[in-house]
Amino acid sequence: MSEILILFLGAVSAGLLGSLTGLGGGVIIIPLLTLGFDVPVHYAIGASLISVIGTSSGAAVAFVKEGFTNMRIGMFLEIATTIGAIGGALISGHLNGNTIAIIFASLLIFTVLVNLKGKPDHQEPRIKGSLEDKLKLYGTFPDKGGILKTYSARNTVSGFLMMCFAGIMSGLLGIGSGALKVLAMDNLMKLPFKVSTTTSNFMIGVTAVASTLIYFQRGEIIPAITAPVLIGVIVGSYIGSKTLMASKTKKLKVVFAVVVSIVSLYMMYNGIKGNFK
Amino acid sequence: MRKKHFTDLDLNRSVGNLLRIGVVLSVAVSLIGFVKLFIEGFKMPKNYEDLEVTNERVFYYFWKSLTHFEGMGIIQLGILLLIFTPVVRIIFALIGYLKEQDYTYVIISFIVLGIITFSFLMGYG
Repeated sequence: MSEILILFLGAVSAGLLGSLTGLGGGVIIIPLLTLGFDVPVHYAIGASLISVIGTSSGAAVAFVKEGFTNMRIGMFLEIATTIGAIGGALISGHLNGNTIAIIFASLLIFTVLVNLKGKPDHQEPRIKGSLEDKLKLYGTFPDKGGILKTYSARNTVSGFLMMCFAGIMSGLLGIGSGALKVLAMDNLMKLPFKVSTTTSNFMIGVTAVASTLIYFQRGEIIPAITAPVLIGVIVGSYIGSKTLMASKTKKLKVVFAVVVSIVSLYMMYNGIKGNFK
Repeated sequence: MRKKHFTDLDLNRSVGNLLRIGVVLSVAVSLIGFVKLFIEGFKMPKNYEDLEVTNERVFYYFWKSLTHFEGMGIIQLGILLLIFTPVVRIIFALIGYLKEQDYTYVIISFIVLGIITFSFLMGYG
């Protein structure tokens, strides 16, 4: 019984940290389950994917109300992320836990770097007759004064391809792969920061569903592990969303970056040593 | 133009409520299932590898477990509820685009639904 309580509390803190830092619960839950509890990597991914769906759906409620989420851009890019997610889930079926752990650790370090760098904030005008215009990849969002500002996406093709890659990583590693989505939506497609963050959060759930269905049917979503993880992560991210606003978490982000870096190096070491199941 | 924006907000609101209901319901069902699992005398094994779920006829065994009101099946029901929450969200969006007569996005929504259906029907790779 006690290991269940520890597992649950671990999941609560994963959800809490994930929501405070914006990294998502998956980034913490996978090292926790594999390194801390000796859970086989594929089972950890299964449980993490489920909690990713939960936190994404929960957070999306608040975001759509604020009016930043662009449902069209989200839906369009979901074509890319879901195809990628299926690919990632299939690839993971052919890889052993150690290889996945090494890829995971590498992406984690990359995520820390992207997170520390700070996100660019763009606001591009609409160009009549462009691909973005035809696909309606533009919109408005309210600024601080409540005035509606117009923006449009750019570089849709390269953004779409980057989203495919983000989907593959999500399906392979069981995370939301927010860092790659930032690359695609902020750096390539030049979307406003608030729009890209909320829209990508909105997409994470659907992306995770595409790969989860494969893990579920492969028998890698273990009810006894997934239930406490899901409940814990949801409770944790709910507490996180109530306690601190994003502006106060800059120091926390630095601390977290250090912790995550150490965890990923440790994971890398164990992966090379072949200690994962 | 103003009216269209209003529909968008309206749709967003119902989608938001739907997502919340889905998450709460799934967490509640999983919790009930988890408690039931331990009442049945389930013990966490020392080795988590022993928790293996058969990958043949997953849905058959799920249904069998659920109709016997077993903890395992109830948790799986909670998980499946959560999995289908975002799917219903796409269907809602699809209806919205149909109402707006935005057929480009009706097709795009269908493509996303198609990909997810494909993943569902493909079974395990």
